[in-house]
Amino acid sequence: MKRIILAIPRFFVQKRTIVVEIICYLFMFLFLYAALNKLIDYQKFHVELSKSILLAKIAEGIAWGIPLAEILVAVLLFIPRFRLTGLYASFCLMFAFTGYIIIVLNFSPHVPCSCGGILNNMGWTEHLIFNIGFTLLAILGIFLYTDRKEPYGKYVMA
Amino acid sequence: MKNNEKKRLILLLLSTLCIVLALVSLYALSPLSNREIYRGSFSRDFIAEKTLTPQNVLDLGVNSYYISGLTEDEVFLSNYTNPIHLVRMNRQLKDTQHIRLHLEELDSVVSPKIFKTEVDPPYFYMTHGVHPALMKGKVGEWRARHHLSGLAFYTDAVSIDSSTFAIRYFSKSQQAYALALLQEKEPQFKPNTNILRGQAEGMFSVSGMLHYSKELQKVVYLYSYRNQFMVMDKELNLLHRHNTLDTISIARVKVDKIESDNSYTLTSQPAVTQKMSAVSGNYLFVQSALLAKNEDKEEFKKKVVIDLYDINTGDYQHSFYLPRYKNNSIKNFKVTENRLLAIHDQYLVAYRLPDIPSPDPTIVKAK
Repeated sequence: MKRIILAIPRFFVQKRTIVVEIICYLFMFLFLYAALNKLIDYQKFHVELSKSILLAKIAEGIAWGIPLAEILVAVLLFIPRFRLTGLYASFCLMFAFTGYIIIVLNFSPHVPCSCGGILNNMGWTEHLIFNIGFTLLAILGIFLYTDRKEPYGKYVMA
Repeated sequence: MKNNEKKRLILLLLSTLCIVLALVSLYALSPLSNREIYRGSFSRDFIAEKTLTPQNVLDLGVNSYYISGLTEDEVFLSNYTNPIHLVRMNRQLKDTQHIRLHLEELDSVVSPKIFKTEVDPPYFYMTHGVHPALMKGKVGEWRARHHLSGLAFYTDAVSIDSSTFAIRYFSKSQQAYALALLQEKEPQFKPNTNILRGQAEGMFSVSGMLHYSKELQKVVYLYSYRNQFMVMDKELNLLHRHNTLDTISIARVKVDKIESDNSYTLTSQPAVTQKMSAVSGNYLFVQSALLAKNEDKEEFKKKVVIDLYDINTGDYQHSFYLPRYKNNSIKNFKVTENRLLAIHDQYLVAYRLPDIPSPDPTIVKAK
């Protein structure tokens, strides 16, 4: 199997610790921002979710679950030991959101939006691109992540 | 290290799989996978040519156009995303001309996408219910100026003549939508709060479509969520309440309040009974969302059904289908004489209507 790491631009690999650091902080910021926005106006978020054709039945659980999951992931990313787990979790969340948007855009007769703050002002296509971008970022983070114990730059030389 | 990479790849694929599974089950459990179409207890009378065939088609490239004007010889299209852009073409949908509209004395406006254009030669109108603005200009000159004073916020406007508009607005005293006339003569604002009748709440249960028939000089309002339309004279006096084919007399809507915005929103899946409509001459054309008992469900899903009503008598005439052109339902349609034009996503399609008797000549003369 070809090494995945070789497919990533050299620059990122050389600066991998910094790149992973930046990715983690981006995700922390994104998730905390999104979670707070939802919790601040929980009632609105809940009503919006109950409009969604996909989530209407489980709106109650989802309305609490999503912001809590977002906060949890942000915490995971903050603690160095759990950083890799946090990156997997970020990937899962972003991928799920992306998939949700794709389903809603393609199959639902009407599209409600439940994203907080500035995200609310994005159009659906922009939103989709934004989410896909963050999903890819999580993948990049997962492959670039190294334990601090390992000497870095090892494969760059190979 | 190689192992490490492999492990991460496998974990990543596993998470992908889990999420895909979760989404698929979410989809499978939702009403999307098995959408029930409400089957009414009424039957439809289809004309001999059950499904109309497209006569002319124009690919517009984008799906943001709507038909803003339709005359015997010409078609006018406006664009939601760029309200000052207008397209003019002949009845064969050829000789396309792109026009830039000029808005005078209007520097900026919030949400310009709200602007709606109506071309009715020799004038054209641009309405924006939130600004609120109502502009009027001459076809050919294409310069719109403010028209009518004492404007209230409105949600919908249709021209009756060059100095009178019928609007739908939110009445604070009634806490509900109501209809009104906006006109040059006094009173400039003439409401009639008795036409729209709310059920439990005065917003969604009365939402619908406002039309004016130039030939009959009558205003028509068709509810979206229930089986009724009202016919008024041009002074907005109620003449009749008529029923559409189905028996849904109570709007099937569930409403929830968003406290922070102090706004209301629909929470149930909207149970629209009348999706879209148009008025031409004596007739009201309604795109229905309901399946009749003598209709094939699969055929219904593949087509767009239009029911015809006589505005004067309220009688149902007959129905026909439009195809879903390139698998696109219609976004907007208009009718003139014996032609029906519809926007199917990015395509403008012209259909020929089979023999509908033309409006009574004496009434046309009176215009």
